[in-house]
Amino acid sequence: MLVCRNGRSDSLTLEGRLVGERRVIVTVEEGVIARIEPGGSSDAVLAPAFVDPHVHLRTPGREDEETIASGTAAAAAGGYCAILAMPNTDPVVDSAPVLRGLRETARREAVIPVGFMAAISRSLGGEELTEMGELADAGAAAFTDDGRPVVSAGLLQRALQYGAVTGRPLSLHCEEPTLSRDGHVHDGAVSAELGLAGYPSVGESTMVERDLALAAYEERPVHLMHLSARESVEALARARDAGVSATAEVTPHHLVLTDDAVRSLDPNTKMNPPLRAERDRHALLDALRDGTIGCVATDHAPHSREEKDVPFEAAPFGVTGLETAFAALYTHLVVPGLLSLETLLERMSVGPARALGLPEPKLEVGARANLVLLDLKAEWTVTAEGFRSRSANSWLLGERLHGAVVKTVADGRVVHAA
Amino acid sequence: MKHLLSIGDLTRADVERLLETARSLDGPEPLPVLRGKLVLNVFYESSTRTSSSFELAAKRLSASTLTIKSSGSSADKGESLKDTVLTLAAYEPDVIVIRHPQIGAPAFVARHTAAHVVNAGDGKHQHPTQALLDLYAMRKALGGLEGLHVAIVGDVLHSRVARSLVQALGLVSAHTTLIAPPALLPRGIEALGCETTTELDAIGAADVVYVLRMQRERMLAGASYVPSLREYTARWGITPERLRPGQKVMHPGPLNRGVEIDARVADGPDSLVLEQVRAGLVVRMAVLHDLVAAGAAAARLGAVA
Repeated sequence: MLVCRNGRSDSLTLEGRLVGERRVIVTVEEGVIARIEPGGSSDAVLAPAFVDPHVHLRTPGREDEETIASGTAAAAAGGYCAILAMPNTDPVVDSAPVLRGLRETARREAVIPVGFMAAISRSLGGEELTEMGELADAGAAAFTDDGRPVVSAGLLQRALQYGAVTGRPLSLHCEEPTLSRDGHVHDGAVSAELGLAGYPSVGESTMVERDLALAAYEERPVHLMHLSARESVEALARARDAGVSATAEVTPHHLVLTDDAVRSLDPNTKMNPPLRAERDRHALLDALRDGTIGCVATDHAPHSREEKDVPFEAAPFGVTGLETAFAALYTHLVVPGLLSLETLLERMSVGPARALGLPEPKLEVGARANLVLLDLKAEWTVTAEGFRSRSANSWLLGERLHGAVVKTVADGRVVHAA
Repeated sequence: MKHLLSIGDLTRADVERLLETARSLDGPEPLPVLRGKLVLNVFYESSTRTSSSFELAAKRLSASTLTIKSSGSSADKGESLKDTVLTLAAYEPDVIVIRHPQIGAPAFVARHTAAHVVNAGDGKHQHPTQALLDLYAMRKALGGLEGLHVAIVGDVLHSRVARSLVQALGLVSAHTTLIAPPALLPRGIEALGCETTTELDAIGAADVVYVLRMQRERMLAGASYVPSLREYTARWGITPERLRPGQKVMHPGPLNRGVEIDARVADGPDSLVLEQVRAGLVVRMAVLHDLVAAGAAAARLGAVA
């Protein structure tokens, strides 16, 4: 399912500290972890590399914003060994020929392994299923209509049923459009003050509840994307307790920011789902900590400079995240003691891999080397010029962050070395 | 003051100073204080009162002025706001007055030019000169602002006037009650420092009833904020029978007579609607004066005192 450009596997040694203080020297021979021995003098943290289940590579159609080459290079710089790309491109990834074309390009360009999701509905129209069997055979990593909800409950039920044939996960963007309406920001005190149309929490959570009810009825797994509201987290926890096979992801920006940031009217605080209230942020963080939400996903959404250099209301939704995810969460959650480093690393690597059925990065002898080396003492400033991504619509521009990715090994190859 | 983008950026002292400057400028004589200065009025939304009063205010202060409307401009040809702003900035204006349908447009202009920027209305966000002129008209009619009780009635959700006025009234220690149908009363608006209710009876306690326009053009088809305009008028329309004698009535215009305000109220003796228009001119003169010639203004006020 994952594809990457061809190349030889590397042999190298890495010195670092495992979480839990033990210093080790890891020897990689031809891409495989051959030995893990005590020793070395490096204080950098060595961990399984990251997996991002939610990336927009904007290819085909908006190669000015991101390409497979630039997006995977950005991911490598962010410590990722695998990413999944969303199908809401132009054309939409809703047929095997489009998917095959992308996989062909990835075999030439992708710096790290990338999987392509295919659409649930043709043209993301929400009316007819795509040929999910053929798409799965052609290598679709999962199915999603991301950017839009599957509005029709009946169509989602059919997609869940057909999941038994494809064997691929469904990733769901939960939004009830008659409640989100033309909302730009969370419906609350900030939207009331600024006059921006509000997208209320129930606009997400009622759809989360509907989708979980369908998953329960069909006894099929679902993955809920970019949760933002406390009510959604509560619905997810109830469903999981009741035995529904549901996983979920949360973005760094929803874990760090609230709608208070929107007061700046900075277009890089505008995303869908919107930044919500402190109570929502707390619920998301608690859920990430206790595992109700098992994945961090960036929802890396590149936009051209001219698209974001407009008044807030005219700006498109979305921010980039691949190159800042670890440092942002380390700085804002781990350093202040809100989340353990161990949990963060797990939720950025094994958690997402498991939720989406991808190979799990492991730091053990015999495993393919998918490793990240992190310098926790490093400090750096996020600048528009510093990105490998073609776009710079980051919510962290100008911020000083702790923690830097020193080296990334993906599928046995060194793909980033600072 | 570098810009006037939002009442939220002002202090009580700023408001007092602007109202005082407006009072000192209240007279028919043109003043030479902005001679040689350039004021550009850029209007991306239709406007009668605001654009005409800014233009007249600039002329009364002897500034050169130019009003650009979006229809017939390069905006019609798809020019981005950024390019329009950079183009206008090349004339080195002292002030850019902008009205734009998008929230945040004036702040955007301020980021891209060196000129002083005045927000003449950005979407549903802010209309700070309207709030200042309303304070001016209230003070003139009622003598003082502190402790005044103002009931704002109508489509609060879509109203930049309501947002600006609630903040402005809060700054001068007046008391505000927002009265609207449930779906037109934004959740969380109380955080601006006001009370809210859906009951029109609450106007009884107010010194001033401030009527908002039912902004029909902002209503999405089928949004059902209210079942019908007829039902709105029946429950929330301001009629003579619903007012106490002597209770002042204000409206930012344009009026929908027979919808949110009865014609007998609009034309009645307690209506301050035309006072508001007159206040608009002097308050906008005060704002332009304060931005461009703040130091001179302070000296002048000192001399008057």
